[in-house]
Amino acid sequence: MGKILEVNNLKTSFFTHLGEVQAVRGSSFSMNEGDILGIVGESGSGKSVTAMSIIGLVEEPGKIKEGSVIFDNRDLTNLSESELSELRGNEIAMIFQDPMTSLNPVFTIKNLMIEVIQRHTDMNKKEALKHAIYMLDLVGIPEAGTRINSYPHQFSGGMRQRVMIATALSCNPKLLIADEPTTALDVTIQAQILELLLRLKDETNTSIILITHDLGVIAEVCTDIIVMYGGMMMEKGTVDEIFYKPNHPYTNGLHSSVPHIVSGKRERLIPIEGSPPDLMKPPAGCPFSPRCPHAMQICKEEAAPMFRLSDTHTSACWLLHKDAPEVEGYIKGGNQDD
Amino acid sequence: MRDIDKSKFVFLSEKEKEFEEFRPSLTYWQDAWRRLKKNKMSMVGLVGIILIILFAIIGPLTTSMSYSDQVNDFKNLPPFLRVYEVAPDKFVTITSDYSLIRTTKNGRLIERLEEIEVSGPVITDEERTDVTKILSPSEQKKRNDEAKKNLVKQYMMDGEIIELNFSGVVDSELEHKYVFTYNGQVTNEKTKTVWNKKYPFGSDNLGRDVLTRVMYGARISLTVAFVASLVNFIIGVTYGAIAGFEGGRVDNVMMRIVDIINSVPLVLIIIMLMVLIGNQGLWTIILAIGMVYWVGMARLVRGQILSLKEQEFVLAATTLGVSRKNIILRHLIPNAMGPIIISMTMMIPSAVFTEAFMSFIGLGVSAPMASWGTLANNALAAILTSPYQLFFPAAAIAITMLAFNFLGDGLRDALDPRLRKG
Amino acid sequence: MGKYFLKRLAAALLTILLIATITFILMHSIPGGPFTRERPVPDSIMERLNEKYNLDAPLIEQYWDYMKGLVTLELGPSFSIIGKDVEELIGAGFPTSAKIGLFATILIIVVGIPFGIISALKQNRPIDYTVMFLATLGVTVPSFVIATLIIYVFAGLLGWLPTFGIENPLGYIGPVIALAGYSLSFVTRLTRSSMLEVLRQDYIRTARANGIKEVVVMAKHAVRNALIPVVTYVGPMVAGILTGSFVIERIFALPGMGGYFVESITNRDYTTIMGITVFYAAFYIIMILLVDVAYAFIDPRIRFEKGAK
Repeated sequence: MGKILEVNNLKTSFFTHLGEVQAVRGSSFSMNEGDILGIVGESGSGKSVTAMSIIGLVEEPGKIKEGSVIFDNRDLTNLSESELSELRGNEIAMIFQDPMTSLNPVFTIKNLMIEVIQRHTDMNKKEALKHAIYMLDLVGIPEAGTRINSYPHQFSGGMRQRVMIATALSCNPKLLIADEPTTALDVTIQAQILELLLRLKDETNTSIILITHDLGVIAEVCTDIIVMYGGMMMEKGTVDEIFYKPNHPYTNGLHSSVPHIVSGKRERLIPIEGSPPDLMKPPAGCPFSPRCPHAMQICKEEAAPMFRLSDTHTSACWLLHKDAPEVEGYIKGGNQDD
Repeated sequence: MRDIDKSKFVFLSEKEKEFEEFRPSLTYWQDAWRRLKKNKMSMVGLVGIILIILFAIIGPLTTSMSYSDQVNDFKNLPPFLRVYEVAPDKFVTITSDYSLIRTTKNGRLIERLEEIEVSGPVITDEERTDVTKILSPSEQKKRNDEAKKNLVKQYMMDGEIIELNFSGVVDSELEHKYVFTYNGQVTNEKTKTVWNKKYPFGSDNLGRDVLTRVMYGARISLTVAFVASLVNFIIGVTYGAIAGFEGGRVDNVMMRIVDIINSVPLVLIIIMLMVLIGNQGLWTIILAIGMVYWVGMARLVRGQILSLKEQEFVLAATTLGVSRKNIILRHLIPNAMGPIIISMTMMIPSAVFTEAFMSFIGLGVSAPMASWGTLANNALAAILTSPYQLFFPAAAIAITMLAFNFLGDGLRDALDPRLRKG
Repeated sequence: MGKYFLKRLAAALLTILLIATITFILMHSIPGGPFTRERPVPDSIMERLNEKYNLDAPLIEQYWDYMKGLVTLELGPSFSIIGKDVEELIGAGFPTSAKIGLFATILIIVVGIPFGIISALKQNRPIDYTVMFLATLGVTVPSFVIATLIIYVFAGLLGWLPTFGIENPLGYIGPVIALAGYSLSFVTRLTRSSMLEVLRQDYIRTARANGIKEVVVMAKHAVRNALIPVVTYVGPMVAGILTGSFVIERIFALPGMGGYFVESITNRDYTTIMGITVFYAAFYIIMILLVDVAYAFIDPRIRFEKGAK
């Protein structure tokens, strides 16, 4: 199971006329074939922009400032727009948050899907149509053969999301990026979509990056997790590590603020005080420090590097430094590169 | 792992963690005004509008001439005069119908010179017309020269004859277009071009001052535009608010009526109204415009009210027992003011245009009142000979409309809630 | 789909009927109105009028005759042009007006839409500023000002165009440009803002994410959607050209219907005014009907909501 994606020191900013908004401030991670990587964080944490940066869809006035994205042995940040458009929908696919507005209203589903299929394969119209119907069937659209002639507004939200997924997977991409695919949907539909994604992954072995702010979704579906805040990565690990052995104040804060259904117990929800940083004037040190119960002087001055806790588990917190004071629940880490 | 100075591993107090800046939040109107100010074109428009209004109000007070005084001697004079110094300190200028006006060096008009019969060799009609027949070239030239003597006029100035030979206008081979002979001095070049001091914008075909007429015209045009827009506003907002607020059948019926009115080009309706009511002063055109254009405002207001009334502050107000009238007046309409203001700003140039349009086809304000449209209409016939007569009222219309449109565009951007950042 | 069309057709016919009736009522009921005015009307006309209009007959009968006349397109004799019937005047003038109107419309579509799209694609670059500047001028400077400018500069000063009339085919240029000016500029601005709006939409992002080539995204996915609001403007555009023709034909001295209309207004030729007004109204309503039908074809959301299910 080889490495499929490697992101190195990615920095993406939006150069608006009011100033530079630093959306992603140095993210580095890698992903293996077959992984389902969840990126979790609040609005403004940089998770969506990270995804858009990988697939090269960062819109004006945004730009990838620094860093590289290695996919299939190529650095995607160096590719031209037309080279990227060959990749998109083909080897890397992406689905988005709001299915109600994500499909072009003046074209039939048939039109939309065949266009994508013929763009990336040699199929003729008949073959493309057959394949499109097959995909719709796969994602669970009933009577796919007739319904493919419908227009987007004739479908419900959940159905539209399935159509998006069908289109995205129609050319067998190696990597699927899903940006909050269930946020705009009912909880019940949400469960169906997630289940669909898992099933598809098993059948096609597509690797998935799932972006969300919902810890519950992450827990259900992902194999690995990245926690982001203020444009930077706070912690990365397997789903077990992040949920059972969290080692970052922010991650802990997230866990405490989410209700747990445990019969018999009555717990208080502890929200994290304060609000996210202004990305036009990001703080010099750790972005979470103003809200961190264990913030130290060093945290205000310098952002922590990633400390290593296991082969798969890293966390960017000064508490993990060998010389830092002991705090209950936090284990010291080694160098990231050890 | 890097070594860190141990002193840095000190926990921070709450106060020390605080370093967020808080930008003061602005109200909707403050934010909009700030954005509007930044938009240079809109500010230009706003300043323009203020200047035009001043022009209309104060302008006529500064001039000594009235808009209806006719001075036949000085008709059809352009704003810029070419004066010729035909004798030391004696200047004349030529009008478009070849009269001579005596002026000062700086363009002040003195008097029109009396024209007299030309005394000199006369050519017979035959010889004049057959001049190009079987004559030798030199003979032809001689005949031509003589024929040209009819392109000569003579006037009296200070007891002496002054002669103007304008053959050069017709015969391009001649060096000079106009040649003056007076008291032995021959002048063939203009001394200078001066600004017509008596008629800064020129005079029209009845000797009336164009500038004064444009100033009074501003009063008429702007009054019509503002009052008509006000009528629009009152009718439109009331109608639209009621339709939107009541909803259901009432709304349906009211909007049907609007649809029917809208199904015909509004200008046609105005024409019909003007034709039927006839011309009874300013109010005819004001009412005609006001009674037709309100439909746009009504639709707009209805749409706004429809979406606003679903919002919870309306529910809160109703629960508190606020009367229906007050809900409309004090809660809904103020919140819809943004688009209403924009609509009003754009309605004024529409009204100016419509009034000018009506005048152009002969249905505008009636004489002796003159709006810019009437002035333009009257000047149309003289466009090739005295273009300035049309230029100034047309420019006035265009500038006014431009100013309002710039302001309106800026307002549209400034009041768009989606662009709010405060 | 068919039901939708029939409904709209019925509504259109009803509206025309309504307008004709209102016109009739207005003309006959205003005290001192046209038919009762003491204006000295030449006897020959008076005779024909009486004959045609049965002015002594009860109002209902007159109304019925009037309506019959409308259907058979007999609109009565002109008040001021002796010997000519209104429908003759319309027949004489309509071809000229129609030609100019058609050229103007073609100009608007062929120039306005592409420039609007280009402006949107090159937003905030020099070409965008230039086009927008010109378009703003075109929208704010009234058509008769543009017309007089054209006459003065191109005909008077430069002599490139004839000063009036259309015997010389070059004579079409001035009127067409002056007539199209406002709507052309409006369509450019509308297309641009519509295109900009569409480019921000999620479905454009989806198309790009699926790897569709940028050119195709623009030309196919974006433009189709961007044109929808532009199509809805065609109605007001036709109205603008229609009413604009009154002034333009007068300024350029063209033998079109607009010119006759203005003349009839000046001369208080009531039959002609009435006849031409109803004609214009009917023409406009039918154009709107056609546009509505076209609109349903273009936007499938409308097609499936109104009556086809």
